[in-house]
Amino acid sequence: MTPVLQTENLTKRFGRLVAVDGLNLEVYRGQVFGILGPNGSGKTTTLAMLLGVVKRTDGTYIWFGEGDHYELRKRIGAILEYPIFYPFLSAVDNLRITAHIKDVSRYDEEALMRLVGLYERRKDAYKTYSLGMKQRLAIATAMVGDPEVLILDEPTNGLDPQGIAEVRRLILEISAMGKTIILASHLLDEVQKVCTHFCVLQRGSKVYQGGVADTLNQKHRIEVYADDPETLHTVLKEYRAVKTMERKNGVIIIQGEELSTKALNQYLIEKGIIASHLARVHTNLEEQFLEILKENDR
Amino acid sequence: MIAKALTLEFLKFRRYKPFWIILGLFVICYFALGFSIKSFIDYMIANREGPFEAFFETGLPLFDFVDVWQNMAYITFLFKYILAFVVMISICQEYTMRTIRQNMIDGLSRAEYVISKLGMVTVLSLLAGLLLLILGLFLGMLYSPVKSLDFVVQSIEFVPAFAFETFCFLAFAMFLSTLIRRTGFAIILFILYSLIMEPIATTIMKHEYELATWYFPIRAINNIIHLPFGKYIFQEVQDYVKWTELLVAGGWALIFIWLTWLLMTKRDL
Repeated sequence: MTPVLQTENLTKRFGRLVAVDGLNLEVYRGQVFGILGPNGSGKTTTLAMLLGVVKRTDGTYIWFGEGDHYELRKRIGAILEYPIFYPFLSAVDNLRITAHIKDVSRYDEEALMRLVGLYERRKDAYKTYSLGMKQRLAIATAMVGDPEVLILDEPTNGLDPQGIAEVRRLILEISAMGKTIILASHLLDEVQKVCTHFCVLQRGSKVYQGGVADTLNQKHRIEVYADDPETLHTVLKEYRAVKTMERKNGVIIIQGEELSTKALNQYLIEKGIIASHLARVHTNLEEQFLEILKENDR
Repeated sequence: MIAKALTLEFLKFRRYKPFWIILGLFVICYFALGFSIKSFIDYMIANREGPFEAFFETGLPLFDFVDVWQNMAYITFLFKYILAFVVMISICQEYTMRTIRQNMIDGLSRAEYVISKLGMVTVLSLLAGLLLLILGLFLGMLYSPVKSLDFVVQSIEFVPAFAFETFCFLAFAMFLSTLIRRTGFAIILFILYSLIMEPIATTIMKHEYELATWYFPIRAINNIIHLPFGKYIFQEVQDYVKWTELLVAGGWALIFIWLTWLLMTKRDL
């Protein structure tokens, strides 16, 4: 299957600063692909290159297996950083400009406005909108012409909890329509909630890539506690599946790829230890993310 | 492609009130200026005395056919500035509002963008030509002693020449605003260069290098239509449009358009 987007060694230098460093990415149809990274890690620069507004220093990117021609951008709906519109024009007039650029002659204005909950205010000037409305209009505009790919850059930035929930619901709804979504975010929680796949950027380099579900299940952590922590510690050290161990207030947390509570329990009993506490620790992306960043900081 | 670019510009401006207000005032002032000159001359004739008495004795034939085109084209040369500001505001705003970036993201090519702005420049230049045509016909029909067709169309070349002059001038405005990208700064620089810096430079150089000064952009552009009034005090003036002068100004317009294109293709947005 041809990827919707493929980049090879994509690089951007601003003078001596390397903003994006040899990025290789593949995004496939139907994925909700998260680009995760702290502020200044090169997320927006990467997207800006993919959208032809920032010139790449090196490397290539290929949209839809066809190339990087500007016409291909008409099949992509995108917002970078924050919503950009003509402030004196209304929502529908702004929509019309986007449609005109994309050579879209017919689109369901009412359905789009209703999708993002702006139907009542559609004829008011953009400058009178609240931030949440602006973000939602941006998503509506990105949907003009029914694009195959949607690129959203920090779509919930600056929104209140209700606005965040609305935008996320919208992303999931759009994803359910079968669209490929590329979402840049520094919020792990967001990526965890809406993405199927993600990569982590740090100082312009990709330091991790994987499926969200896989990543969450990949590393198993188990908390163990027994009356004699010292013996427990020595015994656990010899257990084959254990990769790392740490002690926290007497509780030992072990980590390994093929750990299961059942097998561990059996092993401990064989060794004559009765664990008084044995529980799987659920990891979230946040910890994984911080861990990945920490590993790469060394 | 050109139709698409022009429609895009129109969609952007359609509901932008300042644009239409400025343009409306421009048209009104353009005609008002023509008529104010008429009443000024009437006043001078009515109150003639002092050194200019003989001069106004016969009444100035400012609005006579043949003369009216060059006279009006020359008198209204400052109006180009208003149109230049409109162009500059339109281009700089695309940068300050960052809408140019969104346009590209949505799939506009850089060529299409330059063509859309060039389209606006062309339309405004044609408007300037049209206004001159209307004003000239109006004043001429009212006040010219001769009104036969061959007189009316004689020297009417100043109408397209005026449009062309405006076009070259606006091309300069387009380039400068693409270069500077900030409205206020760009407009001030524009005024500073075209009304102060270049005139000073050419004045200094005129003595030694008379010829070279003809090649400065603003001078070359303003030079398409020569000062006509010398003829009323029996000086010899150039009362026609010279091809070589058109070429120099047109050359500058091409350079400005090319530089705009270069900036657009080389820069990140």
